[in-house]
Amino acid sequence: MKFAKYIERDSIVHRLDPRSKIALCLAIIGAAFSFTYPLFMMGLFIFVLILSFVAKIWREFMSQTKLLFSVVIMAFVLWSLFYRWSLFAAVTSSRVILQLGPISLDELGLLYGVTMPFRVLVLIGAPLLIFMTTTFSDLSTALFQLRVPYKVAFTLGLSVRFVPTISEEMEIIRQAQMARGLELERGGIVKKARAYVPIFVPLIVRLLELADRMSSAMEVRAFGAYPRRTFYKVLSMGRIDYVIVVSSFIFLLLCVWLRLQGIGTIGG
Amino acid sequence: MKIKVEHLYYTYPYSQNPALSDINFEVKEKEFILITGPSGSGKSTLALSLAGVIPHILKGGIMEGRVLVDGVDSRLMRLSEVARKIGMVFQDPECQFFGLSVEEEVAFGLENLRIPRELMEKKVNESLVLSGLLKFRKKEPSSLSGGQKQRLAIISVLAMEPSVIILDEPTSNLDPYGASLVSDTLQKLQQTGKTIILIERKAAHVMPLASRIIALQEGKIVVDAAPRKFFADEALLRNLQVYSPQVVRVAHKLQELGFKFNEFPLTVEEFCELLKK
Amino acid sequence: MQPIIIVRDLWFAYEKADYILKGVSFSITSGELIAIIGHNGSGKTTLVKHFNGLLKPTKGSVFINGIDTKQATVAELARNVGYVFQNPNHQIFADTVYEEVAFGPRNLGYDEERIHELVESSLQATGLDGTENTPPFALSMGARERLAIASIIAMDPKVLVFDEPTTGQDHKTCLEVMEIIRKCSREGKTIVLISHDMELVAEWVNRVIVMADGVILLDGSTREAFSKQEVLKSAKLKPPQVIQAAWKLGLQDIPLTVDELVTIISRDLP
Repeated sequence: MKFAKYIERDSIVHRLDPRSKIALCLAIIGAAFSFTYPLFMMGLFIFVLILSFVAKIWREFMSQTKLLFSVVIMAFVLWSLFYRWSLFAAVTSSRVILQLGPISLDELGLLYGVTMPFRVLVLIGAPLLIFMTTTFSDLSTALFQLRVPYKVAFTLGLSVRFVPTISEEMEIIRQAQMARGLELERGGIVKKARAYVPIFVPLIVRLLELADRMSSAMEVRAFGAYPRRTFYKVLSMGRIDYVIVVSSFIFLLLCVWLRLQGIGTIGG
Repeated sequence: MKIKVEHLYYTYPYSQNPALSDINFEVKEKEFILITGPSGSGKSTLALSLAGVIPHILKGGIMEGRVLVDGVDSRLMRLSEVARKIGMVFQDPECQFFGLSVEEEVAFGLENLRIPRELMEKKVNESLVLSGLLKFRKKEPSSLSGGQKQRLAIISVLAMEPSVIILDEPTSNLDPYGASLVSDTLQKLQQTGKTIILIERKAAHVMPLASRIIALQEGKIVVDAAPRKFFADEALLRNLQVYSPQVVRVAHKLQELGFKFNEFPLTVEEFCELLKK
Repeated sequence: MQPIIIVRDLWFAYEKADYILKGVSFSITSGELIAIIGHNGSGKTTLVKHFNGLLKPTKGSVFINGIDTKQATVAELARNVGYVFQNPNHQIFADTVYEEVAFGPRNLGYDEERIHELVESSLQATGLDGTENTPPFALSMGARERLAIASIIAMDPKVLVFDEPTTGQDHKTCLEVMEIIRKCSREGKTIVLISHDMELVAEWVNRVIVMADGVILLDGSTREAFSKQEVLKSAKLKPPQVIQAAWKLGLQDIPLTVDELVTIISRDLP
């Protein structure tokens, strides 16, 4: 299963207008940045998980977030032990729980250590949820209807469409070269980098070929013939969509206001 | 709608030898022309020249002579104008889809031509129904099989309603099942009266459909004849090193042994019928 | 003599229980030239990717020259099994033809002298001698196909797997490629072909394994396989024109080639 690929299901989330999903995602991300409170962050992440359940993709969602596991662990360790070196941490005194030589683990650190990984999970999980429940073509149309210039939205959609193609081609090339005895596992960094040349050269050649052929194919379909074009698909917002957009907006405002009041940060 | 090629020469940038030399022929309405020849003989170059891709997109080469589309030199037209009269389907299904859903791919060309939405919806629906791809309308083209992808590419081009459609080796990368999907589509197309120019190397399955075969060798036209005449000429086939269907080869060998056919057979059915006589 | 390839009750799935191969068993003796045919998705490519360890069995085993593929790496198995992929552009990366062909043997750890021998002999065998210093991308498509084959032959494996060697090639290149394959076979190499070109298979191959939906429908002589209409239908295969003609004409014998049909007709009909 490819990362962040759209999964077709019949759910409310899938049927939402992509614009309301974008609004929701931005609100969640905004909230994640507003506060630095462990319970809140966990709550946000659980909310995202619930959404994935409502979208009927929670199994796939879980297996993809599992990939972040090592990042999460690392974040936990780094933040709990070294938060004082971070620019964002509150510098207040706090009770020490463990002393490991020069490094100490204190209460505040533990709070950060729990909050930050969940923030990572939320920041990656929310967009991931959007990508898994919305086709690129819908996202591209949404961007366009949000006044992003057509050529930009189209190019974005095009680039994204190529990610699975590139990974497929890369896999074939990798197998073909491994079948010629290419070792990718062993060796130091320099050796490994050199080992990837037989993979990158054919890949780049293929990409250039595709880009070249695609531009011909687009021209032959009269792309760019006129400065303006008509549109086949038009997204329209339903009642639920408006509710979501408005609630997301209010929620975000609330978070920012609360934060400005000084609520919801660790040590404050 | 006619296409006339007059003394066409083309040399790619940085190339020593011309890819096309002194090409002259005319394409009339409702013809089904099969262009064949070994690799490097100029088939694709010819297709790109007919579709206007050369010289509008492929710049820097040297082009002499002209391609007249309905009497107008294609170099004097904008590519989008040529595209409305001559559609082109390429060999690589991967490069013909732009990140949209199946129905949007079909609509893409229409959007570029500023066709109003109601008319677009009608055309898209028709195309999807006729090609049997209706149930895939909301899906991504990447989920289709090779043969279905090429079928989608064909109807996406056809939606723009060109009078002529050029297909550059559409079945090369396909398995036999996919290839038969494409040849079925071509058969239906021919029945609707479209002019078809097909470039293929192994064309056994479309043989009976073609009204004319043009063979290229090293950038020149060496044969321009009806299929029956083309395949009846054994010496020619050997010289050109093009593929001929097995029944054609059998017929040649039988002729050498003294068998006489009333007509030269091109398909298995014809072969069996003609043999019985 | 032990068969060089043994496949024993092979089951394979990428994801849980969605089996692509369902209990495939057969063996290939050294020096055979066989083809694996079947519809798209029947498991042909999945099967042969087990021969050089690109895929490992989910259940069952595959033995190459006595080695259990589950215990060996792809690089180790590459010594015994050379795999020529369908599109030469998926392999070509070097600055010169020589370097391209030398890549495989170099990975196998041979010394420069032996590498030189191997490169020269494979270039000879594929009609590319003299192009050592040419950049591979300057070669025509047909020459690139032969280059891809040369790169694998240079590794001097006992087994050669060809995945659709003639698909997308022009007639002349098809003949050249098949000649190279025939030469390799005559030199004693074991050859496994995957092809959906039934004409080619009928003409060049003696033994055929017909697959459909992950199982083997038939493992036997080419003549046997092409005479069984039901098997061909299940595998969604269309036999070559000479066989279609033979059936339509109600002939007793099954011709595998143009010449065979000519012989049968001239014998039975005048």
